[in-house]
Amino acid sequence: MSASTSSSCLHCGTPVADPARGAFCCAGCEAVHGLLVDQGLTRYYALARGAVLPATSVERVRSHAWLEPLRTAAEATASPLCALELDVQGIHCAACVWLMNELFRRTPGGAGFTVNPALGKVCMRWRPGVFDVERFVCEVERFGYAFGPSRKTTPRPSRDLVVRLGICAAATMNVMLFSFSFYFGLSPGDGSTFSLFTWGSLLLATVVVLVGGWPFFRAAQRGLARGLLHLDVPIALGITLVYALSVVQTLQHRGDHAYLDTLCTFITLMVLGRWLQQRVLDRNRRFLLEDDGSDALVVRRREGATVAVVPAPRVGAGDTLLVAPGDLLVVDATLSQAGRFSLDWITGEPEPRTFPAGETVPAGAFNAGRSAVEARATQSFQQSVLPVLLAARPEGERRSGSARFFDALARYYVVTVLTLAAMGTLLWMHAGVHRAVDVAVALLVVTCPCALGIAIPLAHELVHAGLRRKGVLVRAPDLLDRLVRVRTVLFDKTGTLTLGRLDLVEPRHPGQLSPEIRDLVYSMTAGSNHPVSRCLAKALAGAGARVAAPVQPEEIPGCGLELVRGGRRHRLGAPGWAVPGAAAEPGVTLLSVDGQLLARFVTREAVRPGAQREVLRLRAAGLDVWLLSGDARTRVEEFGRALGLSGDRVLGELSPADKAAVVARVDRRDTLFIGDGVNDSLAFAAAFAAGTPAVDRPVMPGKSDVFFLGESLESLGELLLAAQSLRSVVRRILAMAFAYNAGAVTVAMLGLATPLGAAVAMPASSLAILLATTAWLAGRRGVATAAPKLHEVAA
Amino acid sequence: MNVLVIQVFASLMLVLLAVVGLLYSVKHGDHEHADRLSLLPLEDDEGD
Repeated sequence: MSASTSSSCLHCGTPVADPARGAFCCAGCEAVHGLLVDQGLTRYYALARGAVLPATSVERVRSHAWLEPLRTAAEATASPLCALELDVQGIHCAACVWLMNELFRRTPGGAGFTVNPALGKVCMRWRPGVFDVERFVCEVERFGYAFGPSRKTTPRPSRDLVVRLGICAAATMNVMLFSFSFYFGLSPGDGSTFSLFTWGSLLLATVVVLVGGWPFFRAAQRGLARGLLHLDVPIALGITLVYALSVVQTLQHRGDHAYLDTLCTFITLMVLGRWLQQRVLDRNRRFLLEDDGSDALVVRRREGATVAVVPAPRVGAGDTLLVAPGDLLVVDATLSQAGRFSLDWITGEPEPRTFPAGETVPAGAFNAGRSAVEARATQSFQQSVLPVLLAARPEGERRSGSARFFDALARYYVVTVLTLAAMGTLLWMHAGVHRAVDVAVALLVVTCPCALGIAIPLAHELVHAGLRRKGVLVRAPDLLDRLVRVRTVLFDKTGTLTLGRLDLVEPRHPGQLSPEIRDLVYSMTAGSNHPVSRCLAKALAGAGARVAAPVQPEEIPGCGLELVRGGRRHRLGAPGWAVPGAAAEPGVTLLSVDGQLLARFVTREAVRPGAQREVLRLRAAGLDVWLLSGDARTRVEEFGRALGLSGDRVLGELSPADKAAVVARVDRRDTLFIGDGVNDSLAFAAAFAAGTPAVDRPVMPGKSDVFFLGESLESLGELLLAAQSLRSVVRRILAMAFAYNAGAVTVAMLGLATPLGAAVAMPASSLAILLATTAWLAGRRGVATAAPKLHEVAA
Repeated sequence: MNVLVIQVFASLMLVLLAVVGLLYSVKHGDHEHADRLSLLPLEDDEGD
């Protein structure tokens, strides 16, 4: 098991902000840890070596309607073994692979299981009729993973770059080995050995130039064709000139004076920089399921005597839909029978609502009941509000000022370098063409774009890796550049600052009840799906309550649970109903026997761990914090007061469009919106940056710039701090690069730098800047760790 | 001289072999998950 201190989560090692939570940072971690221990899978911790990420919520029942057609198609083949490839969300290390393999091994009928953690895919083979695919999927999802249809692919540029990098690195190492012999005195006087080494170097360098230089040549050519000057132009020009000069030297039997080793190192480093940039985002994106909106949504539609699973866009008005527990209703529909639906995703209401037969349930509601409900669609999917809310945001719409700054910087850099090279050539033309070309080559080589090409991508990679370890996965390439501009943070309430479930105000209360009452309340609540019942059952089970005898309480909508036992009427529910004459109090549930009060329970919405502290921290940092919710105004205002927010910053009963309008009104290209439901979708699009802690919900993580794992929101502060650190380090890198380039250009212009000298100075400067970047970021991490800890405030 | 030629040849063949290995790995999509590959001996242990 992972080594943990008393203040660290036993599962993921995250510091536990709330001591009342015990040894875990969140309910997700506690549940997954319990499962691992119960099932004898604690080897997971040994394999993870402390790299466990916080678990995602495992409470929500996920719909597996999408799985049915895939399983049917897989089992329709004549082969004795069926095979199915699925995408999986949440794989991050070898321990995850082991865990899934182990769970598969324990499931009867399985024939083969392969996990591809790089892509986030699994391939399973099984014997039909013995292996239950859905059961296995559900079992694995209990550990915080999520399965989906196979959609992920490796982006071609990423695969392309890794091949180019591999070829360049292998060839460059050999060119270096050849070059060592020149440095140690191999000269034209050594005859055939010299020729072998120079031609060997040239051959390998040609491979590096063609393979590694190609992306730069192509980008430069495309840029020039469109009249754009970008960083790849001087890189391509420099590679061409240095290579040409080296070929000339080799042909003149002076291969020892060529710059092939420097050229190959330069190209390899530049390809490495490109690959790092690509890889960090690919990895974070692959963590999630591919979910581009409505395509991933399927529904069960009654077709005659059968039920077919069809894509949501095919639903028309009048269709009869079967909505299973956990399924999303994709259109407004009239219920054929009573059902219980959660609207938190669409309106922000935290508690599921019971709808009688004949009532219309809005699109975006989840079936929160325990049985499937039949409903008749009153509109087509295209008329539903969902397609608008699910629509992907246009790419490149929010290109940040920072990105534009780097574009402009690269442009100016290119113009400056080319002008300087031309000036150098003209200035030294009087000393002969050969001398002038030498100066031009020295200028092109010595003015290293290492800062822009390698050091800044490396800084991004290091910061992203640090955030990933803390459960923050960034999806947008320029998010960290954008976050430094953020001055206003807007939170959704339900599911974002709260967890969408209830907690007891006095958690020790169940332990103080007599065993009879404790067991009685547990017996009544264990079978109920009402949020208060779920909260009480969980607290009572933790206090040691057991079901004394099977009971069948009656659930009376709007009132509570009633149980007649031994001739006595037990009621658990609303004050005025349980105890006649008792005053109604929000959040209070009473237990009575024949109208006499036995126990009183006070519940409140479960606040996300660290939410209050995070809001305080943001406000202390001078940020303007808002609370926007679709929930009832009184509840939102009460919650806002507990957070210490002023009245004008707390808005309730907002529709998705209202939320987006508020965000658009306050946005000065400086807003960060944190939400979780599809009702936040329009606000996501209106905000300058957007994030979500709801990785277990469909669609939303895919529309976010960043998503947070685990229940805690503390990592939001870490994210903003990381953005500030990165900006500071990038500024230092640019300052260092400017100082080096100014000095190097002066020396080269004066004719004091030979191409060989420049070829030595350039990689030396690259190495220095890379080491400095690593050291600066390590120093920043130390400062961040040493920051004083804040204390949780009472609500 | 002959020894050097053989060594250079061997070196270039090793480069070629490494590149072919990389291409094979990328084609099969397992170049980024050394994590999983590191578990293979462990799976053998469990099979025993």
